Amino acid sequence: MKTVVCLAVLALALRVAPAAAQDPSATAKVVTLPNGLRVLLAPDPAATVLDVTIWFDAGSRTEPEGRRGITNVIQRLLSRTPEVDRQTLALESRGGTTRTFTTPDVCGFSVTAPASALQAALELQTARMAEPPVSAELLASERASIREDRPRRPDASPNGRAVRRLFDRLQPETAYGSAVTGTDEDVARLAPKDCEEYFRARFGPTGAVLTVVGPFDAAEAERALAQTVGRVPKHGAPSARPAAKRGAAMALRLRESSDFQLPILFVGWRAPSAASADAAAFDLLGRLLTTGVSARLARALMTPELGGVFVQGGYDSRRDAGLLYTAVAVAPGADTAKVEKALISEVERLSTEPVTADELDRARRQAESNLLFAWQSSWSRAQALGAAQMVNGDWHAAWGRLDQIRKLTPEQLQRAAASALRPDARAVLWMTPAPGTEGGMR
Amino acid sequence: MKSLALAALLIAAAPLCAVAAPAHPAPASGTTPSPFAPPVQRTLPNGLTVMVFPNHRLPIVQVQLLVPGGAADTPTDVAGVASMVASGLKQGTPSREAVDIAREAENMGATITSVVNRDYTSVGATFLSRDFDAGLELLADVVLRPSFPLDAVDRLRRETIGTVIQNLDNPVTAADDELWALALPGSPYGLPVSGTLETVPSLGQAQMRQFYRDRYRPDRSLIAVAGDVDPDRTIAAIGDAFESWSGRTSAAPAGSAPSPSPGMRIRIVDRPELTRCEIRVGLAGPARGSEDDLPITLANWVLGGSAASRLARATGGTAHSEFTALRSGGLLAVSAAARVDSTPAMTRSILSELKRFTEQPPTEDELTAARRTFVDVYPMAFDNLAGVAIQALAMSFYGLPADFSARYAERLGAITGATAGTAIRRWCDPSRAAVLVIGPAARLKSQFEALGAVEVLPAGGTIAGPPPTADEQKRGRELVQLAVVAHGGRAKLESIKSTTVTSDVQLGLGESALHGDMIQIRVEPERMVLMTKVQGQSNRQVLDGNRTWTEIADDSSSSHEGDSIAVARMRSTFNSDIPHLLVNALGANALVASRGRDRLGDKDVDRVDITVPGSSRRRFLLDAQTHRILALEEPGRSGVGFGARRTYEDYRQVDGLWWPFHEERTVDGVRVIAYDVKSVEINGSVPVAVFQRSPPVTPH
Repeated sequence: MKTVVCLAVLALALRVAPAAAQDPSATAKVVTLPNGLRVLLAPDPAATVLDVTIWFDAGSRTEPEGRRGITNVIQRLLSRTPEVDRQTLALESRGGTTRTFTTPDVCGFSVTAPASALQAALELQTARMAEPPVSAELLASERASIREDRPRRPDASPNGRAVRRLFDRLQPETAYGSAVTGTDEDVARLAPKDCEEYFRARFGPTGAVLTVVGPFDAAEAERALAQTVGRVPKHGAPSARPAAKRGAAMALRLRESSDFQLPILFVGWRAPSAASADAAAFDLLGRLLTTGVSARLARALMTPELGGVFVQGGYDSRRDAGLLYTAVAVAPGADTAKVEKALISEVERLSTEPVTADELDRARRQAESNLLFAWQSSWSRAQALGAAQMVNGDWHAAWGRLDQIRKLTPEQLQRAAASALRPDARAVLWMTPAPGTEGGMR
Repeated sequence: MKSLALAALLIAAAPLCAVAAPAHPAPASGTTPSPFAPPVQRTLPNGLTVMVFPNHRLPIVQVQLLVPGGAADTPTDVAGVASMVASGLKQGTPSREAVDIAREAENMGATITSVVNRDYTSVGATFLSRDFDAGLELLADVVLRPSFPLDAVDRLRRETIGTVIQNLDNPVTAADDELWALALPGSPYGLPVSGTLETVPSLGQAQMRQFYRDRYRPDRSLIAVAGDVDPDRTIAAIGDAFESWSGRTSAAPAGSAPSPSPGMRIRIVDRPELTRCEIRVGLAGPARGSEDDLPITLANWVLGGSAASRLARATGGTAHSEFTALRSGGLLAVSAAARVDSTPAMTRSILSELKRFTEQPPTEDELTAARRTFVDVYPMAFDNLAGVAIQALAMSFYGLPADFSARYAERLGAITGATAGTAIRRWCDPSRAAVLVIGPAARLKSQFEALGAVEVLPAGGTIAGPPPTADEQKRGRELVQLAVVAHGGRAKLESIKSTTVTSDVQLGLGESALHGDMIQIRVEPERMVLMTKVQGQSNRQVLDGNRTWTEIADDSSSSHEGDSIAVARMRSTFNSDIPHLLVNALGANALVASRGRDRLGDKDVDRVDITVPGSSRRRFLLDAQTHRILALEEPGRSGVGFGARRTYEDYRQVDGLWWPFHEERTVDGVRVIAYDVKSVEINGSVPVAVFQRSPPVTPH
C-alpha cells in the first residue's frame, strides 16, 4: 500500500512539474503615508491599464448589531457628493471607468483608467475619502433605492441566502449571517449621526489600503500620493470588530422556500478563515467536489437514480471564518433523503480516504489557471492583491497561493478534511419552490 | 457601467494600431514584449492564417480562432443558426462525447468558449502553457469535427429560445435589437444575433450542419496564439492539428448594405406596464475601414461617446451614443431611458442635438480632446492575452491596410472639422433617423405623431414574428367569445369582485413529492394574497396595488418588499385565473389570433394566441366541442416557445361559472405542481386584515 502511495505521489510530482513563474508584482512595495494610509504600489511597465483602488476595513463583519447594512449605505453616500461627481465625469471623459463593491469583509472603490490618468484617479479617490454630507432626506432616498435593489443583489439569490444561513448557523460568532445590504428594519433605523460616526471610524486613511497597479513610475506616484490622498486628514482607527451576539444553540437543519423551480439541497461545513494555513487545501477540496462534470458530487449525484440536475459550491473564505459548502438541485420527484445521504457521505469520505492523484491534479490545474489568467490584467491583479492584504493581512498571500497549491499532497488534503468535514460542524438547508406564483411558470 | 460600455466600445471601434501610446512606458522585462509588437505570421497550405504573439510573462496561453460566419451570414429564415452552431461545437465529435470534452478541459484547467457577433464567430481557448499540445488537439477536434448530436441540438434550441425570450422581455436588449431592425431595413444586420421566435424553433441538425459546412472553412479563417509559446513550434503544431481542415467558405447570402434611410421612421413597441421607457435613435453608418469610418468614430465621441459629450450635456447625462462599424455597414445608435411623461421631450432633445451636430460639426478643440483620449485609451484593449489576440484577428478580418496601424496617429490627426463635418452630414441627418421607443403606446403615440407617422407594435415587435392576419384575428375573437359563453358569460365574469380558492397542492411527483395547502384570494382591483403551507412552512405573498411583499412565517428575516419586477410578476399572477384570462382577452387592446386546430390528449382543441398589454404572450387550447379552456400555454423558463403549460380538468359549476377543480402545471414537459381545489367562494367577504403586512392573518 505504501509503495502504491509513493508511486502515486511520484507520478503526481512528475506530471505537475510546472515551470517556475515569476510574480509580476515582485517589485511591489507598501508605503505608509503620514495620515496612516497604507499604499501598495505595484508598478508594471508592461501593463497597459492603470488600476487605483481604495479598500476600507468595513463590511458586514464590522457593523454593529442593529445597524446591519450601514457599510452599503456609506458606500452609496460616498458616491453622491458633487466633488466625486465632478471627478468621476472628468475621469470617464478620459476613458476611465469606476466600480464600487461592498463585501462582508471590505468596502472598495476602484478606478480603471489609461496610464496617463494617475493624477485624475488619485484625485477621485481623494474626493471619495471626504466626509459626505448626510441629511435625513438623502438617507430616505438611499433607503428606497436599497429596498428596490435588494431583490436583485446576489445576496438575495437562493445561493446567496443559503450561504448566509449556513454561516449564521455554523459561525454564529461572526456577522456573516447578515446580508451586505442589511435589513429594511436596520436601514430604516439609521440616523445621520450613525452614518457620520461609522464613516469616521471606518472610512478614514487609517486602516484603509490603496492599491496602485499598472504602468506608472513609483517615484512619480509617491509625489502624486502626497498631493492627493496624502492630504486627507487622519481619522478612522478601526477598533476590533464588534462582537456578534451568540444566542441559544440554533438548529443545524433548516428548510426555506425560494422562487427557484427546483428543490435545492445546501450542505455546509465550518471551515477555517482565509488566512489559515489550510486555506489552499480547502480551496482544492471545494473544487474537486463541485467544479465541472468531473467533480465528485457531479458524478455521484447527477445520475438518473438520484436526479441531481446541477451541482455547485466551493470554499468561501473570509477574514474571520470560512465555509465549505455544496449544493445540488434535484428534479421534481427525486428521493430527497437519498440525495442528502449521498451528498454528505461523498463529502465526508474526504476525511477518511485520500483523494486520487488525478483529482488532485485536476483541482490544482483549475486553481492555477484561475490565478494565472486573473494575474494578467491590472484590475484583477489589484483585486487579488488588495483582497489578500485586507482579508489575509498580507498581499504576498495572493501569489503565494500558487506555491501552496503546487505543493499540496493528498495526505494534506485528507488532514484538512478531517479537521472540518465532521457531522458536528455541518448544517443542512433545503430550499423548496414556493408554490403559487408565476415563478413556477416563467 | 455605462462608462465601462463606452470605453469598451471605443476600444472595439478604434482601428488597431501598432504605435505605442505616448503615455505608455516601454516594458522593462526582456521577456515581455510590447503588446503592439507585430506577430510572427504564416499562412498554412489550406489558407488558414496563423499569428503568434510570444509572451513569456506567465505560463499561460490564449488561442483565439476567428471563423467568417456571423449572424449576418445566415439566410433570414434560419436566423440564430450561427449562435446554435457556435454553442454546439463542444457537444460532441466522432471521438469524444460532450462529457469527454468537458472532462478533458477540466483536467487541464482549460476553457473553450465561443462568441458570435454579426460578422464572425470567435472561438477562444485558454490553457496552462504546459498543456498547450493537448489543449490545441482538443480545440482542433471541436472546431473541425463537431457532430451536433440530436439531443444536444434539442437542448440548444430550447436554450436559444430562452435567450430570445429573455432578450424580448428585457426592455434594454429588446430596444437594442429592435433598433438594428428598424434602422437597417433589408440588411442582414437587422436580425438579432440569437435569432427570433419564428426562426429558432425550426432550427435543427440539418441547418446547423449546412451553416457549418458553408462558413467553418480555413481559407478565410484566422487563428491567433498569444502567451508562453515558441512561435515556430506553435505554427508547426497548428499546422499538424488543422492540416485536415479543407474547403472554401461559401458566399454569404445577398442583402442590401446599410444606407441612409430616405426619411424618419418612428416605432413604439407597446409595453403598458413600463414606467420608464427605453429610447433609441438610430442611423445607418459607414462600414469598418471605409473612408468615413474613422471620422464618424471620432465624431461619435464628441456627440455622445463620453461623459462630457454634447448629448450628455444636453440631456443631463442621460443619453449617450455608440457607433458600431461592421464589414458592410454600421449603426450609430443613441440610447436613453426616461420616465414615460419625459420620453417625448427626451427624444426631441436627442433629435435636436443630432441636428445641431450636422449644423455645427465638432470644433478643433473637441476633436483634439477626442484624439488625445483615443490615443490614451487604445492600449487598454491589450490588457491581457485575449485582448492582444482578438484585436489582431479583427484587424486582419476587416482587411485594414498593412500600414494602417503605423499611420494611426497620423490618420487621426488628418481628421479636421471639415472632413468630420462632411461625414456627419452624410450619415447623421436626423430627418433620416429611426426612432424607437419601448413603453406604453397609449400614453406616447399622440405625442410622437408630431414627429411623423407612428407605427405601434405589440411587445416582441417585428422580431417576435409577423403580426397575425386580419382573418386570424377575426377567428380568434370569435373563439374567445365562445369560450366566455362556455364559462358562464361575460356579465357573470365581469361581476366578480373577489374570489377565495382553497386547494391541496402537490409539488413534484411520486413518493417524495411535497404536499401542502394553498389559499388564493383575489380582490378587485389588483389585490391578492397567496398563502401556502408546505411541510410545516408557511409562505405569504401579497399584492396590494403597486406594492408586493413576501413573508415566511417561521423566518421573519426572509420578509422582503418586492421591486417593480416582482409587482409585475404578481400582477401577472393576479390576472392568470380563468375569469381574468377571459375578461382580459375580450379587452379592446388585446391582440387575439386563431392558430388553427390541434389535439390535446383525445380531444380536438382550437389554439388561440392572446397578447394582452403588460403580459407575456399566452395561448389558449380550447375544447373544440365545449369551448372551455383545457390548457393555457406560456413561455417556459428554459425556453421552449410555449414551454410552460397549465392543464385544467374537473370543471364544476360555482355560482353560475364553470371552474376547473384540478390544475396541473408542467415546464418543458416536467410536472412541477398540481392543485386540487377544495372550495371556491365568489364575492364573499374578505377581511381587510389579510392585506396587512404583519402579523400574518389567516382568514379561515
